[in-house]
Amino acid sequence: MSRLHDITERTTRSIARRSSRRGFLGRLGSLLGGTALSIPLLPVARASGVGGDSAVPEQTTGVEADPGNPASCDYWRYCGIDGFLCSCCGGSHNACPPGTEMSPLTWIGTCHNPGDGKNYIISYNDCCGKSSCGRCMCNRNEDDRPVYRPNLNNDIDWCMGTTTNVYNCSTAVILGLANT
Amino acid sequence: MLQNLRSIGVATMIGLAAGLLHHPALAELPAEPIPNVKKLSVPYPGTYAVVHDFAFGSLIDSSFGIVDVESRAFLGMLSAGQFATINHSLTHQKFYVGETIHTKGVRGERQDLVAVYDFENLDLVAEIALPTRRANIVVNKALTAITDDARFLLVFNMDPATSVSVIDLNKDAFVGEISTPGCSLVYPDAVGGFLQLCGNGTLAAIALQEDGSQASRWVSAEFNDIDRDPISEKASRIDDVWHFFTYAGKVQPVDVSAAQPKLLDIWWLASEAERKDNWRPAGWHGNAGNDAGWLWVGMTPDGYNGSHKDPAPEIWLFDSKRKQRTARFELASPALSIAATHHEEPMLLVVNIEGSLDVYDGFSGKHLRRINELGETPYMVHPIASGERP
Repeated sequence: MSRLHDITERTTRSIARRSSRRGFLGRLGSLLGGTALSIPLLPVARASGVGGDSAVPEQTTGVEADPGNPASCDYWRYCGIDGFLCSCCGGSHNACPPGTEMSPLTWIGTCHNPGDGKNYIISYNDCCGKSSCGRCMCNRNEDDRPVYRPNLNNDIDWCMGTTTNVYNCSTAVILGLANT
Repeated sequence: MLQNLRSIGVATMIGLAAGLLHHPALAELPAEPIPNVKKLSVPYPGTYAVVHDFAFGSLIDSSFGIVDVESRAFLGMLSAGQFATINHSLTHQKFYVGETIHTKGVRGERQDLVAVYDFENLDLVAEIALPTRRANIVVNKALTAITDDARFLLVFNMDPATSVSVIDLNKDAFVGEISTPGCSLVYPDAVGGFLQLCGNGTLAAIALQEDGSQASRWVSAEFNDIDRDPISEKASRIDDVWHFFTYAGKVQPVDVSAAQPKLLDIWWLASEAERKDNWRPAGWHGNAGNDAGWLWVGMTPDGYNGSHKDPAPEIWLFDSKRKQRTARFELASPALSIAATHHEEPMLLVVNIEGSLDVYDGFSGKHLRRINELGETPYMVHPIASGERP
């Protein structure tokens, strides 16, 4: 059920705001028949619950100014991400899993770091060369622009300039402070 | 115990005797042929649709399931590689699956191709090699298109430079590539060419020569405010008018009846009061049209920066010619993607967030039926009776 909560939290926050969240989730639970969902709910997922024995173990960057759990879709750097979190796939928030290859081309986003109150430019480098990791699907579309603005679009397989363009997972690497 | 066994034995004998009495002269079942592979009846009825399973959890092994949205029968499937696309042609009675594969699974040489399948057998009838630049992008109808004259299949490329591969459908052969710097995707016009949306806020219209090469290229004035309220690339065509939608909910119709498109007047989906509640278009592909002029749009309340791909809990139905909403209904399960059949009494097809296909009465929103088990991550539905359009 925690997964359902996570999934529904983002996609339905508007209605939840107008009524109590518990009440809303109750209604959605009935709508979905209270069943576990059979697909990762792409592209709406804010998936992979944290907490509980079956959840992905919580992670930390170990840096005070970089707070949050990089194995969670709520981690601040993931504001524009779309894909499987490499933190859950053998890599980390800024490193690819062993045996994969990091794409040199990416899309970028600007995310607010609650740790220091600053905005950072984040590069969402894909990791390539193994099939879909399939863990911790996360899709957040803040400032995402359509495909015809490629550098700001997260639907594109950015495994370009790599040995193969088979997609495995996505990272979120700090490029630097945003000007604004 | 013994008494019980005796009773069971007697009952069994009586049962067997009764069976013989009831079926005294039934012939034995004949031996059946092997191999035995079904065909589909052609032409297809207007109730078939293709459901695209993106297979996000195993991208190199995606598929397309063909279903009858009336009977709920699953009729067959087409297997595909990663980031696949599908188009079909009633003229040619074929499916065209764009795909990227590697010769050793996730390793080896990259191959981009269009695999061609016939309607009747779903057999591979041709493989058309493409330049290895086809755009590998999550399911998007505008990645490919068949021109209105059913002559060419257009495949959008991004590596990340942008271009379009042209395939001659009379020969099932790649005939060339058109460079389209700064402009993306393909939207067919009514005169055998196509539109593109460009990163500088313009749109481009490209006319083709008889051999598939570019005859002319026209570029509009800047009209798309991409930074503040961009036009989504998820659009619907009604007759000769493409309907585009901004993230905030403006409709930008574009008349493509002639080689030079016309930008028509903008109108809003939601009233002022509804816009204050931030009702916005939503869904992976949350809009659908049919040539009678009906336009269905998936909507979500309290939209925010990033809600443009969220599932849509409601459908709003518009008369696109009068620019007026005529109905509004809640869905049994929120929509990822929608499409409409072209019947006089159209059906609305909805790929929902549970991965099922819901079928609704297009006018009343009455839930008619549901088809389950359509793959790992179904993303899109394409009604087959909609002609050459994706």
